[in-house]
Amino acid sequence: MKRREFIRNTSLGAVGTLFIPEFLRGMDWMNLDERSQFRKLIVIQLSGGNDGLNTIIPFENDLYYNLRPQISISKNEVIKLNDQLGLNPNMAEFHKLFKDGLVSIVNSVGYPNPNRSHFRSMDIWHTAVDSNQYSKSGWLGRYMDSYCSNSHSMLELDSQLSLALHGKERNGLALEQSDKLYKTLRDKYFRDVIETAESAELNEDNQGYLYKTLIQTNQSAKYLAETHTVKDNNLEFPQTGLGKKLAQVSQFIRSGFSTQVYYVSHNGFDSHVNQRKSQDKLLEDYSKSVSALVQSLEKSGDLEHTLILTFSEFGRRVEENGSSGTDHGKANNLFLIGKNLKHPGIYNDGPDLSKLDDGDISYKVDFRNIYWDIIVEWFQSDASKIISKSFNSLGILS
Amino acid sequence: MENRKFIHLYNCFGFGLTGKQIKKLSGISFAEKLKKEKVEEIKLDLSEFEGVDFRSLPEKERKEFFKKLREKIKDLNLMWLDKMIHSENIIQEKMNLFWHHHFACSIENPLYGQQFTNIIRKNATGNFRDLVLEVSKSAAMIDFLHAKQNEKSHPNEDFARELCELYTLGRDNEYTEKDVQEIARAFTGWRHKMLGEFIVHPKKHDEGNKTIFGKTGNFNGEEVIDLILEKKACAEFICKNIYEYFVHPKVNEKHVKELTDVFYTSKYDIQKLIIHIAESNWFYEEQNILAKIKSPIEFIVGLSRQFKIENENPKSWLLYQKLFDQILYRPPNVKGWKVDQEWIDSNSLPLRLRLPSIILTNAQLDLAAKPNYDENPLDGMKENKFSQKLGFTYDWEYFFDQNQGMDFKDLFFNGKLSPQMKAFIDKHHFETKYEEVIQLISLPEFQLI
Repeated sequence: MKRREFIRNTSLGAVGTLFIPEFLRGMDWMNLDERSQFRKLIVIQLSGGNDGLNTIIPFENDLYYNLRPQISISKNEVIKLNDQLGLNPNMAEFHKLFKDGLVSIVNSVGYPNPNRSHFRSMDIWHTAVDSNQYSKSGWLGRYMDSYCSNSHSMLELDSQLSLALHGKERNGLALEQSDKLYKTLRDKYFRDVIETAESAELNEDNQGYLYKTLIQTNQSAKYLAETHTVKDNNLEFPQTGLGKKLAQVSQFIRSGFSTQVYYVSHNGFDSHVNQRKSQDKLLEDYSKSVSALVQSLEKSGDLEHTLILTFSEFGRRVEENGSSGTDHGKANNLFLIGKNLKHPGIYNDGPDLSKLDDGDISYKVDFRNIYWDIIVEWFQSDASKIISKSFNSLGILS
Repeated sequence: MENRKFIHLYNCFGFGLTGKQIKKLSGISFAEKLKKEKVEEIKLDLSEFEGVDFRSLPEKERKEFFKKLREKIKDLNLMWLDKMIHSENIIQEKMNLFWHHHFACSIENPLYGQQFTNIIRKNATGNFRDLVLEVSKSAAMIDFLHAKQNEKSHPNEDFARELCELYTLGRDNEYTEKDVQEIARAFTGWRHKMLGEFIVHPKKHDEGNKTIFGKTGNFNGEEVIDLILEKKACAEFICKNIYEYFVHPKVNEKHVKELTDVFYTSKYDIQKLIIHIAESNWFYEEQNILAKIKSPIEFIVGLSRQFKIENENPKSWLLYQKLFDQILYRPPNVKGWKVDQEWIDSNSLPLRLRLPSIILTNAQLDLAAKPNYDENPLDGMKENKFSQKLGFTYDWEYFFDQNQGMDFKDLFFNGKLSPQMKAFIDKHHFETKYEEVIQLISLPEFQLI
């Protein structure tokens, strides 16, 4: 069965009804080949504005060193990727992935008329609308509206749900552990209430809406708790916030969850002061955690159908500030990790530091073009319903 | 008026009543109650900042000074919440909350916040013209919608657009793109001084002729507001919003038309408008009872009023707002906070159902709010850790005394339970009266007003 047919069937089977179809309980009904059609996306958000220039370093560029006397990373420190660009020295594990042909680095990603507020810029990335527009739904949420039928189709490993996963019709599910939500609802009294509601005629107004949401939530919670069968100790993951979250994602995928999108945040990149100290540590954590994730999925055979996107709401000013840090900037680099990259490596040239936009890197690639490609080429779906602008393929994904 | 109607009336135009409060109010009409209510302003204690010549402070201390001043926005937040929970002027308080949503404005400066909130308080049940004009001149709104950048040589249309789209007429309703550009010109030069006082900067103001809604003249901002108010579409837009907020999320065209006539004929008298609603028979019809989903603020304020919930640690109140996504003075964008069904999804519903029992048994809520993007996550997590005891105190004695002889199903759901749920509750055995109350308010119906 083709993936799109599968989705269509799922929608017909599940939209509007309150039951998770039997065949979604696990993926065992599909052979590996079919399973590979059911693709996953993991989004890792570097919150606070990661300084892309100290992540992917233009080590041959004098402008970089002139503008950053305190915080630049010297040529002999960087891990060279080509004759111009090198990695932050704390990203050795990420470098291994790069060498194995599993990484595409896209430079100068951003959007027109950029906004330097964390909150506004993050909203723009989440909603994928023009920077002077507002939307209450996120790009992944709108994908869900069209192509998914359960709230657990998209999971955020957090206590609160990001705007990206808010749809017009349905929202993704935020959870820290797969059984926590289930425990909340497993109280005898709530079970009785849910059971009573399941047998009741539910009306179309808000009263009915509350009960329907409750029943659906209970079913998702039950599904996740029951399907979460792979529970290993994940010792190869760093015991950090990010490491633990990605270890969970790995378990969920290897358990055969029907979830299509996992969303994870890595916080603390707002490096106005003493940037090197904080950013180096965060990038090391990122590098080790992502590498552990890739390895665990490679071992289980799930890497074939998993794509990992890493982004931040903006890059930082090219020139350092007076406190060994950097202030909010504009365009930034972005990573795609997986086995289905057309030309892994560095996709486009590093930023032109001689042509800055008010002291910031100007954008060359619209981030919505990346989203567009993910929807069209990775999920093999129609992006026009989700992104209001249309784009041509960047040719990154195969 | 029978109890049931009374409960409905003050669920909508208030935050719910206890049994004793119902008795106390039952002697007077809504109009009389409204006339008795007073405008309560919010006054921050800023004595520690007075007389400080911050300009002469060294840079570091000046930064500290402003940081401390900014912290006062939290006081402003808590003072507002305190008013909603404790004030007797319940209609006023509910109207304040509505107008803060209507004129959604994110405010960081406590001085401007104080000015803004008092403009709303003074005019919440007064005249809409005064309200919209004063809001337009407030420092908070001038900052929020970039009026400062709106000058003769470079008009900035942000405020003009939102004035039409969100505050008065509704999206693309009886105005054109060209009108927006011309309206922006009329508002050029609108500024405020350091302490929030409104001024028109003469050099930045465009004195030329503007053509707005087909009329040409050297209009200023105030005259533009009058041009807008002349349109009945403005009255209709406000009535529609009020209907959705106070009556039913799906509007009844006939009722809105009736309200529009009242509002427009009275020259935008908000008091007349809401009295008309409260005196209409259709307001009490079955489909309007328990029709709306409580916002998180309505939820906690209503609960606090019934059970005398207090908290000595102000942080718990702020964290509640953050966790449930409704922070006072910080609506997420120009459109305001979420509304109606947007509040409820698989993430929020279990939490909202559990919340009364967590608070009223002093149980632990194992949840931490996300750190902000500009926070160090380690500091942030400590600050935002909600998994300790919430520390809310409550008063069962007060609750049972206030509601002696009341049927709790009437009190909490206005008697509107589905037959199945009613049967379930009737045959359910509750060990104690406390358990009965907690279980009742854990039902989904308690999320509704």
